Amino acid sequence: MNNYRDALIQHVRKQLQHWVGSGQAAVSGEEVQRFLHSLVGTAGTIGLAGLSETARLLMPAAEERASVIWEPDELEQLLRPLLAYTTAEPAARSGSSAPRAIGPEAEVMLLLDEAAEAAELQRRIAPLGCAVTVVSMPEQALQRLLAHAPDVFIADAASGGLDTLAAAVGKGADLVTAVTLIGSEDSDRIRIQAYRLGADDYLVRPLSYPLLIAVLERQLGKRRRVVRDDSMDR
Amino acid sequence: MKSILLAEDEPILRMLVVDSLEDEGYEIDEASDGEEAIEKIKAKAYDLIILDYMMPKLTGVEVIEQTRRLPDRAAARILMLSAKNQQAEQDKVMAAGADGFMSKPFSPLDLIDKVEAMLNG
Repeated sequence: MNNYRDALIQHVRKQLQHWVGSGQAAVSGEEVQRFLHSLVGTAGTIGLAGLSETARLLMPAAEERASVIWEPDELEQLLRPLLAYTTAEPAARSGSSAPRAIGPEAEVMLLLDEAAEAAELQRRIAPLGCAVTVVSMPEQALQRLLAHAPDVFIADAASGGLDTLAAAVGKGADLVTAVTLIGSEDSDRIRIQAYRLGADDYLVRPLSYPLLIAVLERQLGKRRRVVRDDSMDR
Repeated sequence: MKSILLAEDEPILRMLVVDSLEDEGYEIDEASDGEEAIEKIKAKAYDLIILDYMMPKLTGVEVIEQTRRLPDRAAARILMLSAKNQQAEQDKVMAAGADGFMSKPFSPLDLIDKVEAMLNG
């Protein structure tokens, strides 16, 4: 199956490069929709669940604009999560061979402004054995938080993280997802705002990846215990 | 040997399905878009036609509709594969004349089971 996975990653990377590379022409909405539809099915079938889910989250936006043209910069924004996924290290995509695996069923959702940062985080999270889903818009993050409750949500505070939590609170949601926000502001004000909206942790840039991983391990460990206790109670 | 037409525009998925079904002893022809699928369906009577829902040129549903209008292919067995797995989409596919529906993503083993069931049912 690895051959299929490598081939698909290469194929997707090439397609994205073609569409959002410099000097590219506009792309039809139908073509984008078809690409995402294919990706959902193919990636999931060959075991790239994170890529499949990431593409699935983009489908509603693509369907809405199926009959119009995407300009390259708009398309780049839509497809940023896929760009992050396909530029991540191979190990970041499978997350199944980790020595300290917490469980392949655990899902970490990322909402980050910078594709390079998202790719780096994917690479570092992979050894924990989690599926990583990358979203690019707060609306997508909110939808997934409410509908699927990923185990952990890591977001840029200023670029959608706080907005997503505020929207979840506004909807009266009782989030079970562990939340870590990341930001450049190092103040009590932003921390208090984050905690009041339901964040569990707030980390300041420049990011200490060992610290982030330690936070993530603690959150995943807690989530596992909660899930285990819940199932024993039944 | 039973013959199957696989119409799927995504080359990697096509490769996986072909490999899986050929291992089971089926003879597989491939099409990468809806128009190519119709040409092949006109040219040969397949035991089973597997269609992707969203293909270039003609969608899977359009291929089914055209196939059902062909006098000597009206009874062809057709399985639709789609990542549009809401019930409404499945209903639309079945109403168009598909004999089976399989949601993507799928397990290749489940696909083999489905193909066997449709060919022997």
